[in-house]
Amino acid sequence: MRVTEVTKRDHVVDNIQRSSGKLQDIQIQMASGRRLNKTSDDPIGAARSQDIVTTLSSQKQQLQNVEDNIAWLQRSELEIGHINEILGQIRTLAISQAGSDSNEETRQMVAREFAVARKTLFNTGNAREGKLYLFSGIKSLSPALKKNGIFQPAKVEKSGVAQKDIRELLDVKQFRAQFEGFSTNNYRIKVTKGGIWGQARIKISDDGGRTWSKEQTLRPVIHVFNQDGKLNDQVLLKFSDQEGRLGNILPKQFDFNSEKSAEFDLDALGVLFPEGIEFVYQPNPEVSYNGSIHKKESLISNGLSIPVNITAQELLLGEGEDGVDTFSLLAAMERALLENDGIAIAKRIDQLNLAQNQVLKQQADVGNIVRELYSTQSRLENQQFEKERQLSDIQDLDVAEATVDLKVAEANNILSLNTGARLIQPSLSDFLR
Amino acid sequence: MSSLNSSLNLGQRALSINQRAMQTVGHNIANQETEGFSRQQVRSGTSAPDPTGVGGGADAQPTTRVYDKFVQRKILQENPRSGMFKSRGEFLQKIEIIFSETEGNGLHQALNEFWNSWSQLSNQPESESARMQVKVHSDVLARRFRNMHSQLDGLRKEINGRLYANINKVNELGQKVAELNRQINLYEGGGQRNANDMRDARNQAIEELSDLVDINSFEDPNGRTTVIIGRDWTLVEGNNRYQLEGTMKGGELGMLRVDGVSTNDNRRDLTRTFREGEMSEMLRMRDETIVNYQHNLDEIAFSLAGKVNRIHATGTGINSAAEMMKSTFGLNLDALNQPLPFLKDGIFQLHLVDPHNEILETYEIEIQAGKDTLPDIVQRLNQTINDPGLLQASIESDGSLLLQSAPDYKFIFGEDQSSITQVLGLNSFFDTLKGAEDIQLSEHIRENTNNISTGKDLIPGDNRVALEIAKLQTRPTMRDETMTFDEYYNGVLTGMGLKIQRNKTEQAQQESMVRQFKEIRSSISAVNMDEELTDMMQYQKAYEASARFIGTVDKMMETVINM
Repeated sequence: MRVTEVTKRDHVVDNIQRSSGKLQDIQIQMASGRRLNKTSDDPIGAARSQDIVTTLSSQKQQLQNVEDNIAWLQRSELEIGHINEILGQIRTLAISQAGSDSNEETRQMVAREFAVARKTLFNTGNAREGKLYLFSGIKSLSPALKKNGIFQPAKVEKSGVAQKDIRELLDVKQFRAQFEGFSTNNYRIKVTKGGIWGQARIKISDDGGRTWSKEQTLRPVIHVFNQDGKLNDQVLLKFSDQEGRLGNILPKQFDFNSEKSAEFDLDALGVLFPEGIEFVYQPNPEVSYNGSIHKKESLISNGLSIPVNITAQELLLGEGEDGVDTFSLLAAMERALLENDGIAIAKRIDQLNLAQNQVLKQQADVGNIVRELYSTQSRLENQQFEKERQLSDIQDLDVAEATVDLKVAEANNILSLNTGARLIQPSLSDFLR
Repeated sequence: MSSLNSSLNLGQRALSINQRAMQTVGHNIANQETEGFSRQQVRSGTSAPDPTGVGGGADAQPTTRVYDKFVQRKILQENPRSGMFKSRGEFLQKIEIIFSETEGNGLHQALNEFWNSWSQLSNQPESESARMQVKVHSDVLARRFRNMHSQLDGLRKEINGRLYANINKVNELGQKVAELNRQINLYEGGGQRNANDMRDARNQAIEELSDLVDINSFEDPNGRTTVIIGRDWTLVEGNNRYQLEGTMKGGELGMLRVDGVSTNDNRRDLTRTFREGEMSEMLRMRDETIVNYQHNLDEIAFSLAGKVNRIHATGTGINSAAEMMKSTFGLNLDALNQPLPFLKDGIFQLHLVDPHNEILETYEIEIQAGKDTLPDIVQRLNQTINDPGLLQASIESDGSLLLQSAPDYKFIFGEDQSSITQVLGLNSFFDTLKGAEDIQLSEHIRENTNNISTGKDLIPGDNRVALEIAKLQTRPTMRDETMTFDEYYNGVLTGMGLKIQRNKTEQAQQESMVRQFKEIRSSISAVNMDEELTDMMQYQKAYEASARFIGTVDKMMETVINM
């Protein structure tokens, strides 16, 4: 093939271009310390490295979430431990006061301790971490527990149909029926025989009408409990006018068993209870749950979340059939202490055990969740290390290898410059005279 | 018998031939670096002998250039592909820069931060700073989408501008070829002369043209070259040329259409007729490749906004109940009477709340997809609410849905199986009509971060909604729910990277092929100094010899005269 000035020049330029191009590539890699500078340097590797960067970044966030939640749960654990401790003390006290070994004076003292314990439990149930309530579920800005009012207007039903108001039924101005007291029972008081006070007969149910007590006389103030059913919790049904009179002002000596009373004209009261009406009591414990039954869930890995709350409901108020309302229980025991009733206390020790188990179960649950979070934490940390290594493998430069490459490229560059210089220089004109 | 005079003539012709040859050597040396120059040769032929058979010396033939037209044809054939790969590589690299992640400000980074901020908010739904983070990172994400989209638009405009320049260049080169055709035809008219340099210039012009467009050229019997570009547009025929013109009319606003203009101002749209060359690639980039990347971005932005909004709409933030809410999207008159599109069968709930965020009433209506129009739904809502004094739905003059509650009351959305909130843009997080081009944070989110939904029913610590949104990161949401956002976007990036790589290889191959052909051409047509110097010496010696010959003949004549 003919060699011409143009081909010579093109070859030389081309070779220099190529070798210095290679040199520049390596130079860029060396300067940035990365093998991957653009997507097109290694498209598949770039996608993998992006994947890893994304994973790393979301794991970092997860790690932070996990750490936050561990702190949160450890705080919860502390409070639960406190509750458990209080219940343990209460149990020891209760056992010492059960039966007949104690006297009234001691029991009064212990009752006071019960009162303090109830208050402490209430405050612990409403414990906060920062501005957030620990045991409120997702309603974290509201206290977990609230105290209910002791009064509750009685709902009136007839044959299962709700009646608007007792006033319309009884045709007496400003007359009302009101329950007083705390209980978790569904009380119903049914008029089985119509009439005025002292004449009308009633039956009481503590389970929403499934079982009924023996028939008794209707009085202005009724101690609502079903002797055949659950333990008494001192709920009263009172009939009164707006100022609270009527039911209350009836003197103690008033004899309901006689047809008529000398001092009072019962007809003048005009209260005639029709047969079949029922007074319905909505369960109204002293303390009820104010939070949400929904728990906060936290992401711990891709798309997986676990609950990180313990609610005061499951801790202190109980859920379902076996649940124990710790506050009602302690209130009832306190009353029994005040009444110096050792047997009533003894009867409730089983319940107290259940209440404590309830707390222990939650304590175990928190422990499990914290353990899971710890293992998630260490898994995330290990993975992070591993992912960072993988990322480095993909995108970082092997400096030793690059240095060797650089040397080779440099040598090539010098060589092509050298040969170019020699090829281009000589010409026949140099040798002509 | 030949006379001495004829010998003198012979010597004189020899002198002049050698002088011409010498001049050609000079011409070659002078033009050794001239682009497109083919070295020229003076050929001589023997003069007719006299009747006795004695040679008559040499005659000069027309000067020719050393040139292989088949090699040139091959170059013209391959050059457009080379130009195509070259400009493809250039623009792909620009696109790559727009999609670049290396500075830590790519879409990936923005997406990661967006998801992380939601993850954090799901962990601390009550926290004002976590809400702020979500707002800021969502804003950054939306802006990144819009930026990338507009940068790609900018690239399209840049290409458009260069296209305009290219059209002018094609016209200029066409003009040049037509002019050279005329001159060559004139010069070579008698068939005695070769217009060597002009032909070189014409070849050069056609070769330049082949960088820009795919061409087909052939020479007519009069030595004029016809140039056909693209599929079938005759750019030059004889002395005439038919130029291209970029028009704004027709097609997308601001985007040039390439028209061919023939005599009588007849126009033909040639935009789609170019197959190779820089211009075809620029058109393809402008109208397909970049648009496709924009569509990819749109798809992600749309999908993201849709999925987030769907979850967000039925959630609540902190005190986020509204007294009045207007849908983002309005319907025109026609659409108002059509069934609302994109609905699903199912219920739609509204809760009426009091100033203490307690739910007072729940209104629920059943929506039938493909059947209910917006007025139907409004009517049913109002029927269910049954008290315009509490809450009322109405249709605004711009065709949007307006919900308004009485003073002292507010409302929130409950369950929405029908997706009507998403379709109309109620309580949305992102607003978008077109995708990446116009995605932005909804106004009520920009105004107040408390309006970011994290839970349901106005419970401040509720994180159910935030959690659902955070989980979207790992859910298959794109392409019929087969890919996550990340996977899809990664796919786009990898596709682009592979395209660039493939183009690099193809470009290198094509260029090396063209280079080899050009090398062959150079080896045939280019000047070699040594050769020329050798020739020079040879012609010099021949000139000297011829001169001596004349001197000898002169002496002979003297001898004869002195006899």
